[in-house]
Amino acid sequence: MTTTAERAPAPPGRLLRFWRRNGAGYLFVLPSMVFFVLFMFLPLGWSFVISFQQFGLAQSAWVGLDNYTSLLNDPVFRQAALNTALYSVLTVAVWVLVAMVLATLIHPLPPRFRTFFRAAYYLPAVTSAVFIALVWRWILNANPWGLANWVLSLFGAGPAGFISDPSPFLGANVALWSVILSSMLTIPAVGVVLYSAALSGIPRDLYEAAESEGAGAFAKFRHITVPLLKPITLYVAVIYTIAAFEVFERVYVMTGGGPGYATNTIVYLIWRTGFRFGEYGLASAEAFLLFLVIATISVLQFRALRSDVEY
Amino acid sequence: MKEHGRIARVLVVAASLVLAACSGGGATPAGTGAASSAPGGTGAGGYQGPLDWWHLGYAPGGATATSKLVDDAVAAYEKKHAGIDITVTGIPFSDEGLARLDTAIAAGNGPDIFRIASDRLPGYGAQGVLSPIDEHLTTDDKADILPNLLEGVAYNGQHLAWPQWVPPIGYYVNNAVLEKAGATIPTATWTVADFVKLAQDVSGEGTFGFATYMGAASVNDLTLLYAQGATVLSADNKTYTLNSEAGAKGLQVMVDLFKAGAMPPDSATIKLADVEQGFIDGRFAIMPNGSGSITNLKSKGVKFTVLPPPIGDAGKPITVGGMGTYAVPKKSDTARMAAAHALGRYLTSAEVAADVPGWYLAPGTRKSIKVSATTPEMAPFEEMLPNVQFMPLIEKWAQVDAAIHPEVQLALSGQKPAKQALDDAGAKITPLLGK
Repeated sequence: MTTTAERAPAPPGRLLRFWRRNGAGYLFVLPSMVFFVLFMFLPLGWSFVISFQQFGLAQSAWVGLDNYTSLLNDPVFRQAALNTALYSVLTVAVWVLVAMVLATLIHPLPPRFRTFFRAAYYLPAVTSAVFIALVWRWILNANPWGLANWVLSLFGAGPAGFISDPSPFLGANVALWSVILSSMLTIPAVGVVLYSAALSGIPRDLYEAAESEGAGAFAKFRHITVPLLKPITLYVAVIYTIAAFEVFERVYVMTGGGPGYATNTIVYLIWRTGFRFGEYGLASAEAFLLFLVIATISVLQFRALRSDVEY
Repeated sequence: MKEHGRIARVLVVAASLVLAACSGGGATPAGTGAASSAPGGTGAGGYQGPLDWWHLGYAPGGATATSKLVDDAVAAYEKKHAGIDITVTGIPFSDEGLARLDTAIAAGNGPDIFRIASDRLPGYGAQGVLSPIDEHLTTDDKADILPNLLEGVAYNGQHLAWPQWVPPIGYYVNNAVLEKAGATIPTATWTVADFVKLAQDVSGEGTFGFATYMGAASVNDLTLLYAQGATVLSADNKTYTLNSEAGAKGLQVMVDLFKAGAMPPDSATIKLADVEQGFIDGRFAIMPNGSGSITNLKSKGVKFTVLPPPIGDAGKPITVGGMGTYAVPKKSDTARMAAAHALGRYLTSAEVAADVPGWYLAPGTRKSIKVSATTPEMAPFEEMLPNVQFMPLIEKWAQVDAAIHPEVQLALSGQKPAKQALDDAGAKITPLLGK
């Protein structure tokens, strides 16, 4: 007797299996990806291309690396780069530190107060950046009616130029230091909220164990809180670095890049080169130099702060 | 987290392209032929159909005084030209708004006509995107438009736009501030020395004798340099000349006033609107500004006198200014383009002044227009017209401008001598002129 074994149906191809398992998910993200490609990826790619062109709206010409070399030889661009670097280093350091300390201070409070402070500290994030800059322009105005100068006058001092004075001061200039100060004194809203959320995830028994061994508040902060917040510190540092390097509206509103070139920043120059001069090729080259700097710093931050331990 | 600057820029450009594409789509000519607008005609020829007019700062529904004037002009023109349907689109009065305009014109989706300052014309001229007015200029037009003002729109031998008005920079004197200080209002023949003395005399206790905007695109601060006989560039626009002895002398006048406390301490970074507000508040006694300030000052009840800039070594009251124009982008539909030129002629004529009272916010470019007949405060500006010097019509003017003002600010702040500041500006400008 002979039997014929029934042939099992052929297994579906790998692609089909993949589609059956993940297709729905990809369909859900498709609209977002389409918009990303259309409005982010393609324009970015196109701007990279035109950074090698003398780009005109009617006609363009390839200029190789001319845009990049002319920027690197331009003293105005170099000063803007230095201004941006100084602004970023100082503001990011202060923002991260202030956010962490504020979050640590409000964490032990009763829930009602904690919620209040979180909301209060988040206000700057939902307030127009232009409005905040306008307020700072008034505070630091060189006239006696500027708030800072009014306070100085109470002590028989001032008036000081603050944002109108390009005089050299501590390696930079008065106006730039004033802009940096105004940023430092603006509460880092997002950082406070992120650190607050992260603090809730630190096991309470770690603190209790430390207390049983006689650790004080600062020791607990230094040896438990700070290390366990490392992953969020990395994230906060990276997003604040990107934001700091892209500072624009504060400079635009408070000083217009002046006096002289004292408060020029890279993004301010990108805006000026693109929209005022109509030199889109050169503006794109400026944007990509900035991109390279931010990417490099982000990689370094990841290397320095990455943590292989998940808590 | 705030949106990143790069993303914002990309979105702005993308949005401008989308909006530009949308705005031009509905225009379908019902024209009767290319020859419909012969030179000498005053109407829209045989063209019937839509015309797209882009206007900086326009808000629909007469939301602002200027917008109301535009709406009235549209209504008057459409009434006279049956079949013409004008759609006005407002674009922001900013560099971003202008970038949107540039993008749309380059993409061929631009308006049929738009208002633009004359210093932007060379950029369009170099790209060849504008339809010159030459073949639409009638004999009457040529006789009516002041010759030196018609040359203010010339580029490479072609006249690129319809010249509408010239807002020269005048010196506004706050009568109340002078009265309070016991000073007399000067006459139109005042000298730089008179100006300096007056500014110093009225300064004190929160009042400053002189305030001017000296940021991007300003010509206000250059009046004192021009008064001494300086110009930014040579007559052929090939050589930088602002660092002349006359230029340095004019800048030194401002530097000395600042040092003497006759200018506000934030002069280097003060905004244009803040200068005008300070004048209104009585904190500033004298400010250089265009005729556009008249409406605002009058509405705020400020008593003021307008004078030409003080006379310096130039020997006569020299002032500077730009020109407001109407330009017509090139299009394949010649009938529609001719209709746009006809609208351009109307919007820069005495006819529109009769149809729309208050249309001219600055002295017109035609002999037939007397703005001072309806706005007496405009008379001093009209008298300045023969002595107006325009900023050079060159493609790289924005870059030249951006090299001058930071150096003026540095000189004012005492960071470098006036001559060195102007020399340093020249070091940046000279390579631009060679390109």
